[in-house]
Amino acid sequence: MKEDAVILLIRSGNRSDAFEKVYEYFPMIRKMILTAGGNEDDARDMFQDSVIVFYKLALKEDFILSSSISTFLYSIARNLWLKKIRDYHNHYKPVAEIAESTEITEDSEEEFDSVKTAEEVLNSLGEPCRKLLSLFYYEKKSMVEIAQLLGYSGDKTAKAQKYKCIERARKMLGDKLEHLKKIFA
Amino acid sequence: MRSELENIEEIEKYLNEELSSPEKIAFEKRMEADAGLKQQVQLQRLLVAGIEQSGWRAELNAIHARKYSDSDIAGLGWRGLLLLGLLASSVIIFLFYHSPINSASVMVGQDSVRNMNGQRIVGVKTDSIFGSDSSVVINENSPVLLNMNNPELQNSSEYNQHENIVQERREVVHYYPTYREESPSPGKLYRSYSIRKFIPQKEQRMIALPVTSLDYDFHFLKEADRLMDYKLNALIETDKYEKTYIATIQFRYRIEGCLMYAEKADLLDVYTKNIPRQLWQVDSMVAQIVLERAKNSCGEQRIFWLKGYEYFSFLASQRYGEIWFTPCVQRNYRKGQIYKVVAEEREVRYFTSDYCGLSIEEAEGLFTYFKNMYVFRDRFREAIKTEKSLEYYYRDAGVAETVILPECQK
Repeated sequence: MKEDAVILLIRSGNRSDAFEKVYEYFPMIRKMILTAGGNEDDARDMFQDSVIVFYKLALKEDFILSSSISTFLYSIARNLWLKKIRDYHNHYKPVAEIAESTEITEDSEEEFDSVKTAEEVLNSLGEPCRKLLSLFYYEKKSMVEIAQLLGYSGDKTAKAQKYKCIERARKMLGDKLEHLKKIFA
Repeated sequence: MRSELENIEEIEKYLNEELSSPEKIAFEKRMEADAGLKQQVQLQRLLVAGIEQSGWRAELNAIHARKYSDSDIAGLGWRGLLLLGLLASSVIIFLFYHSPINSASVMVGQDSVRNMNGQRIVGVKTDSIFGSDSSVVINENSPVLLNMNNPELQNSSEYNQHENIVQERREVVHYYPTYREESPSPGKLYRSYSIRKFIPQKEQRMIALPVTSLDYDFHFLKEADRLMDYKLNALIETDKYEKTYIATIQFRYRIEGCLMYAEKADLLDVYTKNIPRQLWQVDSMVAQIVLERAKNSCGEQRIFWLKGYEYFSFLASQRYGEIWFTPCVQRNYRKGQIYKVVAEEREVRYFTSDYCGLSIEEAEGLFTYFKNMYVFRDRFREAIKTEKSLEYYYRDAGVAETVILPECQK
């Protein structure tokens, strides 16, 4: 079954292959978002968000997919899109019947929003910090390698720089989350 | 007491599950007792998750770019793409040769924009923004109209080397006015200061575009730590100010002034509390506040406030007034991608959807407007290539204004 194969790929660390397979469902999501008033970028964002939610869940050993991947992604993308519209334009009217069921609970939705906010904060950090943190946390490079790649005098300098970046990002994220909390309170 | 660095390191070990069992228990106990530490752990966890997610998104974007380029989505195939490419090139070449940069007629197009009350303004010629003798330059990253006659902007980094964002740029983006302090004469109660006074320009309009982190990155890259308070950034992105001058590109220059000359954000308060007024009116109010401070201080402090006064007076003299809104302008237009020209039909559809609610004519007008911006942007890029570097110096555009301040008693 294709669903099992994709989940197996994810759990065995073949993320790229899994993403590649899952991306076949993009046209379906795109059609739905465009019909609901979104544009190409919205469609891409919503689809990618759904894939990320799916990917995170699939990594969990106890996750059992109760529907097909396409249905799952469709449902998440639609809910995310409606949430986006709701947040920014309170007057949004749904264009199609909305399924009651949702695969993401309110808690995980909040977590997802927070992580997205963290992503935004990282994007506003500036290229040097973003690059450094990405090399360390995502590409899992050592401090020595990072120092060489980014042209620091040594691993200690790179390390000090990394802490500065984290501290700044943490402060920015804290402020932003607090601010958003106030807005949506 | 632990240093911040040690704290971060320990949190990192905790999140990576690298602490031994007793260390972990002790750390968790500390977290229970210290809400601040608990919050720091939570934030750091979110950040690491954000970095991972950002990486996954980059992978997904790569797949997207490979599988679903815009042309593929449109279902055109390579022949269609080639045809569209030729068509787009013809349009660009036509516009290029029929749009001299100093001719405002190029800018003419129906703006599908709204005024402050959300009413649509249709049929407004864009040449009325700048007058017929203005040249216009488009910023690479945000196609906002900038007036070349505006010395503040000429002096800003917006005009300089925006081909290479990460490369060297001018250290200082602030506009620092000049002034002359006359020597004190014995027995004289007042000392005169000559301050540059700028000739007020006719009322101008701003195009309001969403302020994004890209703008800040671009503008404050080197000064972010020192100048840009993140809370301020968040304020500007608040929905509350969405349709006010606070959400305009022009307001960034006021922010710089507020950061420089504010006492506990009081100047910013003046802006946020006087939103119904026009921007230049509030600029004048702020200038007067700063002048009062100059009157009540001496020495270096006085010079500092005088600079502030001159800065805000200058902003006021530009007479930025009515704001036009382009509510549906999204990041597509901010990227300055010329290939978007080929997607005109699709974009018009977007603007005419329920989401935006513009009529077909308005949507087409808006699209033409941005298309023209791209043409200007390319002209500017060309100018950079040919002239190597364009130097925009502050020009003597003003006359001296004498401000009488009380003599300092020292």
